[in-house]
Amino acid sequence: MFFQIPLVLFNLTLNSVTVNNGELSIIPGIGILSMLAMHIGSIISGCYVLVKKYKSASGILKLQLQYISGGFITSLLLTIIATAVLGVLFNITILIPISPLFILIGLVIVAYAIIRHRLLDIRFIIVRSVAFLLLMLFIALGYIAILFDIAFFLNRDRPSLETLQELILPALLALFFAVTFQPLRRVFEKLTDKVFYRDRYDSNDLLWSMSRIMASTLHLSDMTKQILSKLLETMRINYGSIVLVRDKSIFRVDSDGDVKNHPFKNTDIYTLIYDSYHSTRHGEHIFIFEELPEAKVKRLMREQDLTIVIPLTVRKELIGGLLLGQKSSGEIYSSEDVDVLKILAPEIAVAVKNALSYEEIRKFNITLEEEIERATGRLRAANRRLKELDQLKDEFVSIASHELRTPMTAIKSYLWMALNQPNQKIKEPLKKYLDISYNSTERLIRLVNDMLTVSRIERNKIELRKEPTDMTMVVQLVYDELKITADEKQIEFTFDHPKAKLLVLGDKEKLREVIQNLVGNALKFTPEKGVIRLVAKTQKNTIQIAVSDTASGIPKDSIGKLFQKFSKIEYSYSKHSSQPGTGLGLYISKQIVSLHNGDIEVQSEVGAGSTFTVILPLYQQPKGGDVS
Amino acid sequence: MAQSKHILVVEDEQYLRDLYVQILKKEGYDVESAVNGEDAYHFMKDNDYDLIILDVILPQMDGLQILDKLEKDGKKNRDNVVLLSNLGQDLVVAKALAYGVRGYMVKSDYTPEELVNEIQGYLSDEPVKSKL
Repeated sequence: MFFQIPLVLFNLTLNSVTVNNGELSIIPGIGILSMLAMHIGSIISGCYVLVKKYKSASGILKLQLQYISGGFITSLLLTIIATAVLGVLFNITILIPISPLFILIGLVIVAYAIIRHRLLDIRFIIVRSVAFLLLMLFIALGYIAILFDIAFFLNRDRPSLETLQELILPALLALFFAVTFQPLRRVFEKLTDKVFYRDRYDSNDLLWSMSRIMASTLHLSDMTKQILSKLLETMRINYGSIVLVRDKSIFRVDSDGDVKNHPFKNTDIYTLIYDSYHSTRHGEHIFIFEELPEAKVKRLMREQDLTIVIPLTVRKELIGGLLLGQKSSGEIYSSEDVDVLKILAPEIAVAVKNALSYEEIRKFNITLEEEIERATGRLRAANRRLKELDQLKDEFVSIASHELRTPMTAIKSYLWMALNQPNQKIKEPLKKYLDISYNSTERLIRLVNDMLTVSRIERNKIELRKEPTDMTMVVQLVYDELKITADEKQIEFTFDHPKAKLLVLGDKEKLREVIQNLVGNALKFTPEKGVIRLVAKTQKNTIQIAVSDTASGIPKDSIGKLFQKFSKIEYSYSKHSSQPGTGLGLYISKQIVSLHNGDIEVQSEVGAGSTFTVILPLYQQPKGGDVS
Repeated sequence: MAQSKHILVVEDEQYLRDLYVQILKKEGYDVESAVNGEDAYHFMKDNDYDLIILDVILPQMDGLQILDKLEKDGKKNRDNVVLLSNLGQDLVVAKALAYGVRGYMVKSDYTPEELVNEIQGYLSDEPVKSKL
């Protein structure tokens, strides 16, 4: 093009223009060929670029390119018809002078594209141009003024300085302009931005803060609130809403901006979101009010006072929509705005989907907690009930034993009275019958007592009144009590013990029952003129009380069963006794000793006798403590 | 024996009450009896006994409630009270003894003779089995 300028200047392109009979006669020069080449070349290369762009373009860009090419093809065709076809072939030159006007048609179409389809950010260009022009004007005026001064100075005719000044001053000026150009440009840009381009923002900044909001917030309502607030603030939009849909209806709406004065009709909004998602308009899923043809969608958007509707989709699934109202300035959305929104929409969609999932998990957790709470409640109730039942069982056992023992006491007492009438001898076999009745009643009472004890042991209801207890004393009491019985059976009954106290920490009464039970057993089963020896001693940290008898002994395989409840062992004591036990005595004794952290051991030899040994931990008297 | 001792037998079970009254009278004691908690309370409130044999489970008011009520009336002396019951659980016994009574006897453990011996022991302040 620059190459063409001198050709035009030196009349090479057009040799001369003469007026013959009122008509223009143009005589082309040699330069017309290069001019032709230039035009054809630029048209071809322009077309090439257009076609190439058009092929790779999609959506609104494709449409924009259609407008551009359509506009220019129309202009070109008209120009060719006017100049080449009519002018050259038919020699009709009337249209040639107005042929440049055909360019206007192309320009109008492009202008339409600009306004309607955001072809070029024309405002931006205008603003930039104004800035540039102002700068140019400033520099030019400055230059002129300075040059004027220089010229004035040079006119004084001082050749010695002339050369130097001619060299230095332009150099300095060049430096000055170079240095001041950028800051000045910025100043004017800022100035013009303030006046013409108030809403300008850095899209990268916006996208970055949005990403940060989405990355840092998991709570759905917090996130949508922050997204909308940031978006509305940055783009200066009066209303924004993130709507979530599920199963063909709206289930959640988060709005920001002028919400109060904004209509919101669920069905219409849903229709808009649904339509935008299924819209094939320019291959884009976005409704922009200004770009829509007058139809249902546009009407709905007008009614709902919306300018932009973008569907939110995750993996092609529609989850909601981003609705935006007008810009506060009343301006239309710029292509930059729309680009940013197009980038944001899928990101928002994914973030919302994640937040929804999170919400679901959170709700699930809450449900789970409630469920656990309920289950725990049920367990508590069950536990309460069990405690009540346990209490009832205690009461039952208590009452039952009380109620059983009361009539048994009467039977026992009156039988005793019958048997012990003063000065009156009862005849046999009546005495025998009464004796049996009396003994059986005694046994029944013992059984009730033992079962009561077992029940208490098994429910951990047994109360031990533990205190430092001298086992020698305890055994002595039992010895004294049962000595008479032993004498009656002519049994040699001895008790050996050291002089020192044999202290254990235990329940005196319970331990006495244990010893009494063991000695009682020995007395029961040892035949007349047998031997029973009680030996109390310390061994290491224990106190051992051994009860040895010369009864028939217990087979080894039965020893293990001795301490079981109601053990029906092959070799049963009861077979050898006229006074059968309850079958609970040894079991109870073992449990009581266990509660004292002790044990009962058995050594027995059939035909020779048995030794039951109670082993209890020795009570270590605290230093300086006084034990009575 | 100081046979003029005044004894109150509180027992709702007729057979046992008759028996206790009979054997104690036979020993020469001055015996009175009450069949329920209400009567027992009034007897105990209005009279002084050398020994009171008090059942625990009673109609209208149980033995321990009687003691509570007497305490509120300012009659706090329980040295002359021996509980005689067929309740034998450790907890019940421990609770009863905490009232400061002289003793606790389980009815079914005693023959009439043993019971008389025990009571004589309490009255003569000699050591007895059930005195704790």
